[in-house]
This record gives sequence, C-alpha cells and structure tokens, in this order.
Amino acid sequence: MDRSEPPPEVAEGEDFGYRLFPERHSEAKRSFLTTSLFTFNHKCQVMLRIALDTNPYAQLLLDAMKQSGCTVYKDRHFACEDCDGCVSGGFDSATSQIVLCQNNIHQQSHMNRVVTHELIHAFDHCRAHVDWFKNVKHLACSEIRAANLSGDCSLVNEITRFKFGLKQHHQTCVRDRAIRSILAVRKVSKETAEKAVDEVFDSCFNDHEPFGRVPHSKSDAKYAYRDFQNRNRYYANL
Amino acid sequence: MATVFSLVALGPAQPLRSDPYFYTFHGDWLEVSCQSYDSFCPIGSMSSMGLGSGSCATVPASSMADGGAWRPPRTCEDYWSEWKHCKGIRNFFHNYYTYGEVPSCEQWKIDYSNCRKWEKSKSPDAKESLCKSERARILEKQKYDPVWKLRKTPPRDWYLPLGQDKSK
Repeated sequence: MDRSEPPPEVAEGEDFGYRLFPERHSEAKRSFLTTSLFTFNHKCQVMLRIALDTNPYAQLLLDAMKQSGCTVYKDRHFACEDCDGCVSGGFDSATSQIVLCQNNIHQQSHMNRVVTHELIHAFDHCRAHVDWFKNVKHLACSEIRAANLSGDCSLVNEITRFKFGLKQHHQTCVRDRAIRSILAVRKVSKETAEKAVDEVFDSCFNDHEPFGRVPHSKSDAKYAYRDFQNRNRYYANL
Repeated sequence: MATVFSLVALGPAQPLRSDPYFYTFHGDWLEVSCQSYDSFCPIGSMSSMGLGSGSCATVPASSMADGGAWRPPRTCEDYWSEWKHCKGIRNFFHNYYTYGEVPSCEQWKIDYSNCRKWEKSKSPDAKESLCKSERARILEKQKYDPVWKLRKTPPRDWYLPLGQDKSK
C-alpha cells in the first residue's frame, strides 16, 4: 500500500493554504472592540454553538473523537476568523484547530455542514497518522471522506451550484470537490491532484467511519449515532 | 484454550472504538486489536502469548458478551427500523444518487425474523444466521486496504495550549 512509498518532496513556495487564513500567522491581534463591532465573530460563535449542540452529524463526530482520545473543546479547537476568497473553513493540523470563516458563513445550515466537514478532518487526524503536508494521497483521502460524509454533495447543494446529475452523481461531486480542495491548499498540478484522488477513491469513498454509512440526512445521522452508541453490544455479540 | 483471553477479563464495560479494521475474523474466532480500547492494553504481553503484535485478544466470536449470555448484536426494533428505512422512497433515491443502483433490503428483513426467532425460542440457527449476516457486513467494510496507518494513541499535541505547539 501507499505506506511504503517515500512521500514526495514539498514544492518550492508551498504555503499549505495558509494564505487563505491570514489571521493564522498574523502577529497583530485585533482588539476586542474591533472584533465585536466590525466582524461577524459573535454571529459565528453563536452558530457554532448551535451546530455543536443540535446537529446530529457533529454530535456523533464529537462523541467518536472523545472515544478516540481527542475530546473537542469549543474554545481550544475552534476559531472564528476572517478568511480570504470563498473558502468556508479549514483544519489546521499544526495547532489542532478548526478554522471557521466568519466572513463567509452566514446561514446555520452552512455552518452545520462546514463544522461536520472539518470535524471529519479532525477525526482522521485523531485516529490515523495522516501526513497532511507531504502526502497528497492522505490529503486526498480525507477530502474524499469529508465531501462524502458531510452533506457537501447532496442533490440540493449540487443544484444550487448548477451541477445537474442523478445516477451516481454523488461520486462525481465527491471527486470534483476533493480535487478542488487539494488545489486550494497545495501547490500541485491538476493532474497530480486528479491522480491522487483516483488512486485512493475506492478505499476512501467506502470508509464511512464513524458514521458506518453515508448520512444523506439528519435522519441517517441519527441512525448512525444510534449504532455508534450501541457499538459495545454490537461487537460483543458477533 | 489457555492462550485465549476472554473480553470479560479485559473489561467489556470499556467503550470500544468503532473502526471495522480493529476486528478480524478467523473462522469462528474474532481477533480484537489493542486500539479498540480507550486504554490500550500492553502489546508486549500479548506477543509473548503467540498472538500477533497489536492483537489484544482472540476469543470465540460468539462468546464475547458479558458472562457468555449472548444477545443479538442489535435489538429487534433496530432491525425492523433499518428495514423500514431501507425500503423507503428516500433511501431508494439516496442509494441511486450515490451508487447508481436500487438498494437491497432483504437481508434486514431476514435478520429481523431471526432476531424474533431467537427471542421466542433461542434457536441456534437463528443466532448463527444473525452472526453470519453481521460479520458479512463488517467484512464488506474491510474490502479495501486503508490508505493510512491507524494510530495507537491520539496526537500528543491535541491538548497543548495554543502557542506552545507552533514550533511544528
């Protein structure tokens, strides 16, 4: 498998996508007054709290991470910041933080989806040795899983992007969004990103942990959460 | 067998990490990886008993329940609700949208019948059928090799205060 191959060299000028999150490396911190009056920080914090408390996708992921030894604390592991471009969020493995783009997330449903997406990255970071910076296949795998399991590729979301398709379109969407995410944060060619995604697609698309299924709706997520809570009995009686 | 550790001795009350790659079937025997437990059991002692490194226990697959009292892996109500959910119009659409095919729901109905049969008469055939069905579901999840290596312990800097881990 991929584990025995030496990881490729890092490209010159690679910034690992940090240019999209200028506050991550900014020495100058905004004052409390500036943050309160001139940013969407408070709105982001409120929506984040609602997502963590009520969204079944997030609740399952938080529980699964706790069981894996990575309890998530809102104040330590989440940060609402202004971001560049159209990016909605990111996972910073260097600081073990999920970054939420307060200037680009304005609806609760969007916040729910971004939180789920980034928690999947955090879950992968917690349960596996993911080489985020040097191994494009590892990044590709996590992006495939996040696009697959977070609801990013629901039919409704795809239609709002004017992407139309029905039969197996979910897989097309997952593949395209994974490639797009890789290109946004890594200085690699489109061919390299496509090749990495294609090589790991079968394995990662079918890795549904911790959901055990592809959760297409909150109802699916609740079934998945029930199975997760029942896992002791399940594995003890096989 | 002297070399087999019952999960009862290891503490079945410990919550298990639910990754299908932690569980490997060898015929009627289930090998459980150390990583499936929150507190990881010492690998050294296991390897001295002839088990593979990283292996926590090898037990007869159908005897893992507390005190040997077997129950169906899911409640009968869960089998019923999974069947109803599977054959609903929403799931039909989602399955077609994701996999390009109609979902197959018959196995949930068979499992539900076997579950009720077990509840009524403790039928060994029903138990065997249920176990076989659930193991097949886990084997289906293990069809592909994982891309990355699973951790034995969580990342050491997960809880570090911000600022202290910026040397990375």
